[in-house]
Amino acid sequence: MPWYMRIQSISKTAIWVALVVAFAIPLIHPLGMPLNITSATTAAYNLIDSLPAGSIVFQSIGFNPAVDAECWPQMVAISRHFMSKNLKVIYYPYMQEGGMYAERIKDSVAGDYGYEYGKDYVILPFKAGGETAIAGMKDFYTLFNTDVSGNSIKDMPIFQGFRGMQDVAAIVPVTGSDDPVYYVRYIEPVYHTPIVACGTAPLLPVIGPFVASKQIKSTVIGLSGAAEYEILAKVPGSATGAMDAQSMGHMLIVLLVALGNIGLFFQKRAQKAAGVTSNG
Amino acid sequence: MRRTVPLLVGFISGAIVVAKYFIANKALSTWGTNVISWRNIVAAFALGVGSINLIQTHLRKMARKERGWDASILLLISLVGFTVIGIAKGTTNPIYKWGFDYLYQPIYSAISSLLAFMITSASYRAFKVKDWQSAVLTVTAVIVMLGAVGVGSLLYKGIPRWSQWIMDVVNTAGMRGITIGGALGAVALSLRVLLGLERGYLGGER
Repeated sequence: MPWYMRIQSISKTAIWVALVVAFAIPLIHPLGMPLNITSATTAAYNLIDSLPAGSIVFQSIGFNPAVDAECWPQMVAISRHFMSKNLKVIYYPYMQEGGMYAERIKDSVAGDYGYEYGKDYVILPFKAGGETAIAGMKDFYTLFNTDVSGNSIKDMPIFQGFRGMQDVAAIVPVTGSDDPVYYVRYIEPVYHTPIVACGTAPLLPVIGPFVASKQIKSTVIGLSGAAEYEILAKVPGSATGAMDAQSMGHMLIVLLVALGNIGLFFQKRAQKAAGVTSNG
Repeated sequence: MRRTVPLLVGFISGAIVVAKYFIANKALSTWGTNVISWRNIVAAFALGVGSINLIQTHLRKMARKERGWDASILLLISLVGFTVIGIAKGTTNPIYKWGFDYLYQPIYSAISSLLAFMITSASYRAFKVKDWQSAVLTVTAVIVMLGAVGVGSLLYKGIPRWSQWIMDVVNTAGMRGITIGGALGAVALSLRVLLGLERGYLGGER
């Protein structure tokens, strides 16, 4: 087999082994590759940073373990920023699993800032219905009357004087789903609450039009977004270290695509020289 | 009667919610809010119905010893176990959290991470420059991939800017078209459902 055919037919196993090696190298020996702080993440950071202490932020958790490699570091970095600014946080699990991630924040982050459950933050229960649950938030106390453990929320200090979504200073969904779009549909037009959408990389194409129309104020996207936020908020986390591995993975893909195309180019040239008509 | 009542319920519920958005009336607003609350309650019931269906399907599979019946045992143990603990002790119970942290989350994450391997081998095979359209696709993909990580700016400083432009201008323009098209389609389908012309949700014509 000529060389240009061989580089077009690398086996799946070889590719997978190469990917494991590419991911493993930075884990063994961190490469310290540069990280660009995007204007979107900076705008998201600035918006949250500008909120006065005591403001209530609403964090919608729309991810599950399939995408938590990207979303969990975002949630930790943003929660640490909330808590360092003394913001009050309402965690709402848009997906069933969301409550478990909020519990992790309760167990591993809130204590570092002396945050008290019910006074400084609260975890709401999951509500079936997805989009309709968000539509129902306009009548907040009809949808939610207890927290995730079944305690009445009206008695909690965080809800004293809280009328509903109109008293939320910012909605910050962390998601692998499309719930930011539902907040744009049902909450933002009524209360003009700023939305900062955080989530997986495939979220960006979906919310792009709403970012352009300023209905979503800014975004924190993917593992790189999480790493940028960690740097901006000065809260070291797992995302910054993991970016080396992601860089290596992307470089490997680009290298493979280049190899495949070099092979195809020389194959076509050889066929042309031999007088064979290629059908593409 | 079996079809008329659900059609009537569908029409009245839909009409109330639509009217709520266009007519400023307190009674209409309250009715609309109630319909949305009912929808959430129905969705909660749907979770229960789905679970029962899942149990029936896997019990049948086990009884017939179909391929993978042993995995069905694990599924039923997990489903029933988590449901019982969740209802009896709550989802904040340490046993429930242990199950999530040390079983569900690692297994789910590990399986999903396999996607990275599939995407890598699929990219190698799919991104082949055979004509000008595939050339545009391949070049765009490479720029966006490199722009998403720091190494892109190491190779060429303009790459993150180009990547940003592709996402902000080209992608947003395309998504706007898709979003508007989808919304128009949803309006048309909703009208057909409200008027009883679209009856697929009733289980088809019989």
